Amino acid sequence: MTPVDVDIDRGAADRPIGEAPDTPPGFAAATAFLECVHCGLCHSACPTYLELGTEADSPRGRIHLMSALQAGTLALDAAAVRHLDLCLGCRGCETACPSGVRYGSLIEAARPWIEAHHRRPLATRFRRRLALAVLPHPSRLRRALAPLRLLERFGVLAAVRRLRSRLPARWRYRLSLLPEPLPQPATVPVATPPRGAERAHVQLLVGCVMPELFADTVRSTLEVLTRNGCWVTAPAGQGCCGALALHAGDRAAATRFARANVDAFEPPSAERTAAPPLVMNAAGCGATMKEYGHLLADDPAYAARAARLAARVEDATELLARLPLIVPRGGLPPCRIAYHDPCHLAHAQGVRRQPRMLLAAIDGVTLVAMADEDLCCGSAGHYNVMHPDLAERLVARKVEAIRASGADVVATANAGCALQLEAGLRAAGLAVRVRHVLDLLADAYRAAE
Amino acid sequence: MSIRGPLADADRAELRRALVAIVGDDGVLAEPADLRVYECDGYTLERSVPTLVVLPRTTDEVARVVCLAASAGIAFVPRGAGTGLSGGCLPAEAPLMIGTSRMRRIRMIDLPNRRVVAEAGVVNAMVSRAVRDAGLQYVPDPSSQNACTIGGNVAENSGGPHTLKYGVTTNHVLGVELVLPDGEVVELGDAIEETVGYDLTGVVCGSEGTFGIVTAATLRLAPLPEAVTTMLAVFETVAAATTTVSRIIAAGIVPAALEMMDRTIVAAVEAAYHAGFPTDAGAVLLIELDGPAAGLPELTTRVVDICRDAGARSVRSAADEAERAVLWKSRKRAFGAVGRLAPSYCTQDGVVPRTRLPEILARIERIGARHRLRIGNVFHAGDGNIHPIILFDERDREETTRVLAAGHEILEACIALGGSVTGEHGIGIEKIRELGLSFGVDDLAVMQRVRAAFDPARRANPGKIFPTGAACIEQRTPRRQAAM
Amino acid sequence: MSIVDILRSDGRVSIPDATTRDVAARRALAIAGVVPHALVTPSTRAALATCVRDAAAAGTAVVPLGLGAHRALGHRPARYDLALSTRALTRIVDYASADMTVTVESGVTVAALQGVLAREGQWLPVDPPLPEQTTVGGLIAADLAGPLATSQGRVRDLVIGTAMTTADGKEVRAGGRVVKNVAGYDLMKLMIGSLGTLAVVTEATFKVRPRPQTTRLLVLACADRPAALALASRLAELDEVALAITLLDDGDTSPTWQCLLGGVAADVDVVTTRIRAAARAASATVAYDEDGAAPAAAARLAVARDLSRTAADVVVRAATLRTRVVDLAAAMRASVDDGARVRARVDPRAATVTLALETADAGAAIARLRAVATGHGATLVVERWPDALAATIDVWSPLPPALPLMRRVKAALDPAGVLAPGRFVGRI
Repeated sequence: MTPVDVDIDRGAADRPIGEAPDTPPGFAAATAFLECVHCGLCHSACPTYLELGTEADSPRGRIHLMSALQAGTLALDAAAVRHLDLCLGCRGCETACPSGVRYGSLIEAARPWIEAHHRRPLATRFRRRLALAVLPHPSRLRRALAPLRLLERFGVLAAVRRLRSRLPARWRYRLSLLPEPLPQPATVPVATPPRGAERAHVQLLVGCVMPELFADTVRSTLEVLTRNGCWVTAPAGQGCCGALALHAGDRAAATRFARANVDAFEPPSAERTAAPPLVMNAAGCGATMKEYGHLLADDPAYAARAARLAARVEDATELLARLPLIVPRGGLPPCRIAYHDPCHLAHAQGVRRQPRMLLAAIDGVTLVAMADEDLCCGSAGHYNVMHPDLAERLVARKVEAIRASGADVVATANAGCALQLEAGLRAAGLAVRVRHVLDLLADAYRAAE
Repeated sequence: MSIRGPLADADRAELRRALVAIVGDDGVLAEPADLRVYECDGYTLERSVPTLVVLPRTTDEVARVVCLAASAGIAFVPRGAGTGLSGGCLPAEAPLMIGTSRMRRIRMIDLPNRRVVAEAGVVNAMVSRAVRDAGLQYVPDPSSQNACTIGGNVAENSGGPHTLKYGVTTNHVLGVELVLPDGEVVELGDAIEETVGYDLTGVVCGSEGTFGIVTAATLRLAPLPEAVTTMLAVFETVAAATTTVSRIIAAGIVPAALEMMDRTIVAAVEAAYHAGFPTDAGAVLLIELDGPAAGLPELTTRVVDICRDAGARSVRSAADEAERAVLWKSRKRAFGAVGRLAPSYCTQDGVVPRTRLPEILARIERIGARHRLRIGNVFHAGDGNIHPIILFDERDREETTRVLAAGHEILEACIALGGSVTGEHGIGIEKIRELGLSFGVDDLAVMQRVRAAFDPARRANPGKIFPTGAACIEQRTPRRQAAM
Repeated sequence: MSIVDILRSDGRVSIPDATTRDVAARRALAIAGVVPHALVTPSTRAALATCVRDAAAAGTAVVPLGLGAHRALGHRPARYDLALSTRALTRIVDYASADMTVTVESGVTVAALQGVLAREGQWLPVDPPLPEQTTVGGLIAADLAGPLATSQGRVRDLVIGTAMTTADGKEVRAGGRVVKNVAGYDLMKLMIGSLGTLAVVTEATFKVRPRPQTTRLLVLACADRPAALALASRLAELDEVALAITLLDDGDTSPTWQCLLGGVAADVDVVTTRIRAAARAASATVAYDEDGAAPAAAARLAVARDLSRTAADVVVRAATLRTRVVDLAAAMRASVDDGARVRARVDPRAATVTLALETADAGAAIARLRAVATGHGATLVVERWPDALAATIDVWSPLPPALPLMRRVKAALDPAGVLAPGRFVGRI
């Protein structure tokens, strides 16, 4: 055959999806849908399809729906919206897709369009608005949790928890989603010096929900980073990364959060030469911030800085594996650990190897294989709050895999997953602990003392 | 007389109520958004939206649904995962679609007797995964194995890269549980190899859902090979590569797999997966040998020698399982990478005797030149099963017409060389016209008579395989389509 | 008046080929005592089709045969007017050795075909009884792959296309000549083991294989029957190098395992070592270890393979699951009277037990064996029985649950019951 010119630069990753110049009134370029060859290989990677078995709840089906909505050949009714809402945004399909379809970008582009064109039932609107109004704002979240903390202090929450087995199944699961006990919020100093010789300077995204609901993990993060010779700075003015808003289709709010973070981490006056890694311990935040360049691409005042910031983003496990890790002298009591891949780490950022390497470096740890390690647990941001029924079914599937693996600890690298897995395990009555990789590392360092 | 077109509203509502009574509310899909996504499978050129979709969970539910359809005279179409590539589960002339996606149990794993009983909706790869720890596997491995279902495999008699040595689906299915179009459940075949009576299992395999709905299958398991060698041989020309294929076979060696990619495909694959393919080569062969460990080095040496004698620029063996996985991933996902070459592409599936590969490739090149089309080739060389991929832009109507003509000419060329119009994608709705190239009127009439023994009213997947002329389908332009 | 006379007398005869009413020739093709009125041996497929069409039009029953070597299989035909032999259809239509396919007319014998293939270093990996008298059509119609089936595939796995003449006298095709093909229904599957009741196979295309580089036959002599059966599970686990594994227990000498190996020399050596180790552990002695292609080895294999050809009043074959075959073999053997002369063959991988017995009361012996087989969840085929039992015997048991559907298939292809009526399962 005659040689052909291969137009590799037209690869999927280089074409914008949202707001393309030839975009019709819809939300994406029509050609974006052509990338899907309708082969269906994404089915097995889609948690909702595995659970429901309905084509409209598969990535291929959702692309089909989005394409039809975009073309105006399908009405945007409650059924169509529900199928798109049910997407966890785990992006497991992107890993499975042979054609390189950027499903995550498609569904992200569709969501604001849905919000603009579809009016949800009042209760749903209220729930969504409440979640978005509270969760991404630490101070509001703290105020919202205050009454619960009070109830806990007086033992009321404990009493309710004891009654859990008598509650209806769905409430049992919802109650289990509350950390037990509720931790005291963590505060992170603006600057923390390394313990031992300095090896790196890193900036830390503290996040919104993390210090309120997962304070221990925040403390572990600081501990592990400083023990690895990191100067840790947490610039003031930072806040939620914007992931929750983005997944809920509130692009305007997401860009507001993103701008605030760009101002905090990449102020206009900043020395161009200083480019410390920007790390975080939550997979969703990392995935979102790595995309800031795209998110703010149309904002001339922010585009360049956002792209610079995005290039510095690393998950804490990525950074630690790269430094490389100073192996904890302490270790852990012998335990069998299964690792659950957070979607936004494995599928969105391609980080799979590093957390496992860190775990394997801990004395006493035996890593065991688990079925479908990278299948979504159903946590997916605030998905388990919006769609508790399906979230519960998904975690039940995960719990079975954990049971079969014979692990006595499940490690993960995202607090939301940890919470969801804990809830599932508790509901199933399985005595397996769930720990963040950083918590396990911190334990191992502390054990040496 | 059976009902093949869309149902009237009142009939639809009544059917829906009756179906809900059988499978429950969540088992019947009726909203436009629910139904729209079932308008096509992996073959997207033609589309037709079903009136209702029902998702039963058990054989009993399937039987009751089919019984209901029978009493109402309604035609139905079975569907697995919808990964088919010939429109086999397109609801062309059937208002009711019966999906098996919720029938996902492996009913029995019998390791000592090397068999499993899997329900129709079990995903192909799950079978092997379930028995791998015991050193066994379910051999047929279509490229869509992570998504396609056992029921669909049986209907299409699916192949895959490893059919050269191990055969296709029908060679590994011992028996099926079949719901006949009148709702009767029959057990065909047996877990025992030597069955009594006609080999109805054999004729159900590949019948594309026209005999009823297979709800479960008894599958034979095979031991995992003791050793495997996977090699990548690089050639300057396609001719050198195809000659090598023939010489390997002529040397009395039957590889487990023998796959070829030409320069166009290699370039796309390398851009996508970075497996280390040389983008300036004319063609590469992926050669896999497996079997007992002791003899494998000798066979490997012989294959390497044959490749070199035929002018291979290089031959390298995968050093470990990881490297082997990258090679196979590149091959199995090659079609996806092709999306980088053109806005649209259209894949054909034809077969020639493997010694005629050089001729068919030359003809494909001539056909491409005549129609001013770029055509890439990635295929199962050991089986002579070609998958020319025609690149084009579907927005160009005139070019699109040329694509359709070229596709037809390629299949005619396959027949002229003693081959077949489909090696693994099936006739479905795509190749009804081309089936006539392979078979005469009398041949097709006998097939229809056998079908009538199972489905006298032609209510199971009507409008497929054989021409009827009554389909109400929306014809689209050719566009991207997966090649396995 | 014979059928041929009838055909001739009303002017519909168009059988251009050898038709014989010679008594000896006809008697030689008797089935369960029934002698056909005539034997027709068309020399072309067109003639064969004409013959079937005319016979069907005259309401004549036709029993398709090759050389008739396996005609004892199946029920006595309900009517047996015309014996239609394919023995004159002996063309090698196409042998594409580099494609590893061969297309032949159905009258070619397996032995002749193997001779052709051997010249290119290939073979059709089947080993039917009496290969010189078994035509390709017979191989298909009676499903006679023999002991190689487990390692090399059954007949259904080797046939990729057929031409066949249906009861209305039309020659039709299914499948093709390429190894991978999903165009149209796999009608050739219906032909396999159908004893000519659906159509007359006139041509077949097979996948062929390279001959193994090295073959080797090991014969293990065991002290007694329990010791022999104890080896079954070990031998059943051997890999693809073990082409055929059979236990022969002829009642005269000690039971012996015949292990035919084939493949790359290094692999054959490894498996030989494994078999010898298994033999040692079971106190069996290696009675023979030679090149599997040597005449002596071939003779030994033929003895084991052609068990059903030995003098016997009754031959039965039972098939079960692998895990049950040893128990089944022991139980079947135990059900036979001490006085009866019994030869048995066990294939631990195909999970079959074949028993040939000389007995005065065949009916009772068959009934006992059937009860044993049923009790072990096995199917039973009576391959030979005294003609006296023809009217009452159930050749196959248990009858398959899909029998009504099989009747519909028969009715669809041969509504008038022209082809081998009553021969098949359930006297289809």
